[in-house]
Amino acid sequence: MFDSGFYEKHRAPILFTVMAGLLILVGFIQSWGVSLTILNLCLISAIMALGVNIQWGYAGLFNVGVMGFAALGGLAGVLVSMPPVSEAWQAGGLGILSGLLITFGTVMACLLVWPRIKHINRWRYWIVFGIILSGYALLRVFFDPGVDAIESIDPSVTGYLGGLGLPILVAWPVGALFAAGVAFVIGKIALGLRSDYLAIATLGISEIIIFFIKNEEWLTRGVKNVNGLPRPVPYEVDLQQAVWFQDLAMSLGMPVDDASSFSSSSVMHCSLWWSSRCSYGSQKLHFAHRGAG
Amino acid sequence: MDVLNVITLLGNFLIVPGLTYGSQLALGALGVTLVYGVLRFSNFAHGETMAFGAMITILVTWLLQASEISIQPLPTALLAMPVGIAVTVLFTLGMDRLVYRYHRERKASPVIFLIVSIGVMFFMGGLIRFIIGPGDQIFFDGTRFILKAREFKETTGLNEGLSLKMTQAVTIVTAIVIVALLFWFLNHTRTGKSMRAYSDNENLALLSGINPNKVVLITWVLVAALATVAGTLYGLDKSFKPFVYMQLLLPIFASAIVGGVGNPLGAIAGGYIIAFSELILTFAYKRVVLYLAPEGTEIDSLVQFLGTDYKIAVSFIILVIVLIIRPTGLFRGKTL
Repeated sequence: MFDSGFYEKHRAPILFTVMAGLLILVGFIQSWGVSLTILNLCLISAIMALGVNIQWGYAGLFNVGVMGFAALGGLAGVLVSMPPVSEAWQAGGLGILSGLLITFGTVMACLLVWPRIKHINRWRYWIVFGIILSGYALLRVFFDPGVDAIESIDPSVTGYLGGLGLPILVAWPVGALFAAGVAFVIGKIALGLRSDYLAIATLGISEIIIFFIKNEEWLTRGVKNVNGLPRPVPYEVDLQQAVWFQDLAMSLGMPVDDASSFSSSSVMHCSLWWSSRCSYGSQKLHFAHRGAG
Repeated sequence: MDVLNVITLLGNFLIVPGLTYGSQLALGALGVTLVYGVLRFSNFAHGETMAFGAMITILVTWLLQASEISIQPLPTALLAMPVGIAVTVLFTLGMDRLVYRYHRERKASPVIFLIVSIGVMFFMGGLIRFIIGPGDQIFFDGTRFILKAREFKETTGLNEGLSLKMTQAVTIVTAIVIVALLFWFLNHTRTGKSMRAYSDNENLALLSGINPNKVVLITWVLVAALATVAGTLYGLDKSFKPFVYMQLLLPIFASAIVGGVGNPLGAIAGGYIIAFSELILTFAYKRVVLYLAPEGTEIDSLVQFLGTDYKIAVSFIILVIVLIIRPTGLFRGKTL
């Protein structure tokens, strides 16, 4: 029964059964909460692995900066769904906004000037450097007081601008847009280079993103963490107090706290199912292209 | 007087640390560049090779310290370094035999080598943490300072002091000696010349009767030796912590690419460029400005280009700029 032919043929079901068995074992030996936590992490990793699979496998681009993109997803979650901190906006919002405007203006100035100075062989990079440097100096003048003002407002709880207070589900496409924007920049820089430069460049850029998010406390509180991000499903505490949920858990014969931790992993499961469908579709597309070619 | 104070201040906080850190990066980048030039892949395991070499050196240093052998006033680690180099050479050769040779014979693409080296990196990282643990290890002994800041102030009568740590002097001197030896080897010995020929044009080198296995062997020996020296010097100067070496990998790659990967001279230049730009961009110029400005001026800010938190990010930014403007690096790399 267990010859290699059987294994090759039914590899996925066998491995998934082993995994399920281990999770159930953890549930009985340790607790169902731990088992669900592990399952949750597995599903998150699986979603990441699907993305990596598409990029490395189908496109043949060895991008090592996956964690930078994951961090941008987290950033989107904070910026979209956390309630705004109005005192911080009053104190430093003007500084931050003018800083953003100056950054935008500097980039636009570089883009406008570049076609005109492209033919000057010697000085072109120095001119661009000068524009960026003066833009940066201007930025610091307006930006720094704003940042200081924001970070000094109740630093143990807020000390940051907060988000837009929208539902967390909006953050998912926004995070994808953020990542796509950064991916565009990385692609502009590194896609023309050799494959191992792409790896090093993506690693470098993702480290820069992570450094930025860690250190710019006015944006995301840095390493101090933003707690209590809204979820698309109810919190465990709320579920445990809802009468209908207690009845449901009772009728299933499960302890209430175990049943409540199930809700978040079921969301992960749905999104995994959806993305694996997409991945499967693109795989079919890929083979269709190959066949046509 | 103020100008002298400024020069001393910059010397103490920029030039001496920059030269030290630059030498460490240059030695590391030389290893990366040699692997790239001869074996033609970016070796992600280089940081962990440095950590491995430093670890063996530390273990031997502890052994020597326990049996009370020392070379005062120099740190004992220098005495232990040859053993560290020997063990690391054996380890890297074993890794080549077990892992890289298989892919070399199949003529795998550079990306496959890169992924394989990431695997080796994780393996070595685990091994190092298994043997010596993830914590800080201090193995420095001998005289701490060659020149103390207070003595300097007393003799010169300046406000600012200039200090020179023993580890800084040892790092700079060792780096100069090692680099001189390496260049002599590459340019004036038969084996070194055959390595350069192999790096320049593999097929032509094979046709003229160069033994590829010997070239690969010599390359790994050199790389392991350079990595051990760089790792030990870095550990002596700062402190040994396995995780730090993984973070050091990116500045090292940046140095190698900025100088032109595959070009040893470029690797050295790149090391110093990266080190000095990190320090120059994150140094607080407040005291410099205070000395130069008219008396009674007051400044609130630290007069810093970037916060100290962004020290490592500077090397990535330079790397990205070089990749956009001049992907071959300053010295037009690609061959030894």
